[in-house]
Amino acid sequence: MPKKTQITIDRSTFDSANKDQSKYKAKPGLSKEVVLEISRQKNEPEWMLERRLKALELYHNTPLPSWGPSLKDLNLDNIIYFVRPNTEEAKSWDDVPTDIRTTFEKLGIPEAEQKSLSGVGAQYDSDVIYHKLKKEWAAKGVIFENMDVAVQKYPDTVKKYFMTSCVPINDHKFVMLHAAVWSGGTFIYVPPGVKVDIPLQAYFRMNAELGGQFEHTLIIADRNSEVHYIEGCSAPRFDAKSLHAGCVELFVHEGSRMRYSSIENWSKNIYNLNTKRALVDKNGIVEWVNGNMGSGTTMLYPCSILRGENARSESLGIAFAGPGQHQDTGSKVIHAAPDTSSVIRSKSISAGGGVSSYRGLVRATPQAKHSKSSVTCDALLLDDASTSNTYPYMKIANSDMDVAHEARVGKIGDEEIFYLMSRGLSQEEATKLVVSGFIAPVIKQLPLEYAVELNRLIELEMEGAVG
Amino acid sequence: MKVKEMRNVISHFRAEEFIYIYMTQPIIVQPCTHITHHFFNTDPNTARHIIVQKDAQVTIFEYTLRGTAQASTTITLAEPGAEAHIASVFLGSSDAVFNLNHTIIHDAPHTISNIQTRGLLLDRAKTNYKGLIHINKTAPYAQGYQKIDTLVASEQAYIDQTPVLEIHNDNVKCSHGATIGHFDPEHLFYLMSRGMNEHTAKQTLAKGFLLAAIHNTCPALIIKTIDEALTTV
Repeated sequence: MPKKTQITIDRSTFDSANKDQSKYKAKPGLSKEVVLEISRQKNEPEWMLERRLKALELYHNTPLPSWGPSLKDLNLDNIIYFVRPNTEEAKSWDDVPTDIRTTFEKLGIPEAEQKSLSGVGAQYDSDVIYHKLKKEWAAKGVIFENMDVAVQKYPDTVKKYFMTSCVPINDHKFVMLHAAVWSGGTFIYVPPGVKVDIPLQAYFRMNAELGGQFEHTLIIADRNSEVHYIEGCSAPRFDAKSLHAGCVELFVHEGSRMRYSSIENWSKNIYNLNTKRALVDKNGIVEWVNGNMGSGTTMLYPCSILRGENARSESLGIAFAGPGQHQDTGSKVIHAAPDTSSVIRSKSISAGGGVSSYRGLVRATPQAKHSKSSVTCDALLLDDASTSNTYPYMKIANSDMDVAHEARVGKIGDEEIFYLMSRGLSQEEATKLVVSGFIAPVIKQLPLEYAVELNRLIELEMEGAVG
Repeated sequence: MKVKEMRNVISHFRAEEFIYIYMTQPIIVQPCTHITHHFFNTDPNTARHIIVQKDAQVTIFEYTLRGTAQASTTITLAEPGAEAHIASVFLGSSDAVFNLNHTIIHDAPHTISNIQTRGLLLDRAKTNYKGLIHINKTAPYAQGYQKIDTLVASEQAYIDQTPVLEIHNDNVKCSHGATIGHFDPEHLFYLMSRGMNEHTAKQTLAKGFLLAAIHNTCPALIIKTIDEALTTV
């Protein structure tokens, strides 16, 4: 009988649901009627409805992917694709209904907003229920808006950028689904030269059983600007399988810098089939910081397309696969211009029978002269019931590029545990200390100050010194 | 087919320093046997399967040097103490297309595998390479290592390489590495400053790069073939 390790992440804050008091709930399953109703309730322009319907048609004609984790238990006909909470968007937490406000208070969002954020958006099922940008940033021309509102307020900009060149609606089956039923999310525009030096955050919370979440995040950093955006998400635990198929599009224009930090902590009944992609122009920099700790099955591969000279991408990720979890994550980079560079560092932990897979791609076109890419993956297996896989793809079509990849898989050494236990630690404490050291390079980059989920990871660190 | 009886079933294509083997069924390497194979990938479609038994060791040298070749090598380390070492070289020139697969399955404790592949791509050559080390739950204390290095020496050449690890046991050591690069300008400068022209300097570097994978132990015929192919560097 394989031996399983007991290291897990405490989910007690996230797993309980509020009573379902939604004001509208679509019938389960995806149909043209559901899409039409979503668009009608949002009072969308004709071009957005046309895009939704085109995506729906593509979705029905596209099979499920034949690779990666099994999706056989995901019943797409059971999912409710549009659930509206019984509240409107508020600019003050006092105006948010008590049960919803309490949920976000437990998650630490209002506190974080007060102490250390320049703006916050909170989404509950299909709608954004709170949104606020601090005045000083609004005065500089920064736009931080609910995506639904942005469609109305900034139609020309949204029409130009929304699912056109970054993540087109025909990209893959779950992008097609997203394009048909997307709701809520974040729109951010940073004007030229503006450096937003305090992060903006959005938090996505599912509540309704079988309700899916399909938020869309669109961030545009204009020339020579800077912005840091943090995304957090969770859902209560139910038995029925549900779905998150969000989409993130980042436009990093010439000379700008964007950091996108994401802490994903969906409950284990969720399939997390998200799509994230950045287009990086000349001298632009994009930084991905990803923590994947939740969901039952994740397929998530943030992608950077380096289309401008001297563009750069850095990706730092950690995945934790506990009992019943399959984390199939990684990073993709496409070098399509000269003098581009990319760095990917990935760490994964498998415990209690969890499966963690790194799946990544480095692709270079003939135009990517003098470019460099480095990929490092480390995987820690905490018991012999767990699995670690590494699938790094390298497709290079030019003779002037340097690519390096390395990966190591192993367990915590018996000598290390013995050393720590001989200093008075219990075996569990010793294991937690070694694990926290393993993930430390990634944790240091994550926004610990204002993402409660990450505080759970601190539980893996020992308190007090080891003598 | 068991190794000790191999001579009875081999087709002799050429009798020089070594024997050409045309495999139609798996080779079973019996306990405590050490064998060395030199494989030449010249056919458009070759598959070979080797099963290694207790404390046996297989060392494979594989050469893919011309034309269109598709070759798949699968080694199962079926019993404790089994070892497999693969040293593979590919050299694509002109319009060569290579599809190469190396698969090593660890199915028993204390097994060791090591795959070292080096390739040079010239002209319009293309290579698809997949290397897989799979460690089953039944293989504690297994060690698996894999490295592929490709030198791309032409703007029209293309490499698609994927070294894969699938690990189902925590009590193992496993790592892999992969690099893709080009001629180092400093190395070229060094050789040219000693009187070589650029063409000779590249030939020298390419030959040293490839032969390092096969530890200079390959037959003279292989050295000659590599020299001929490198005339177009």
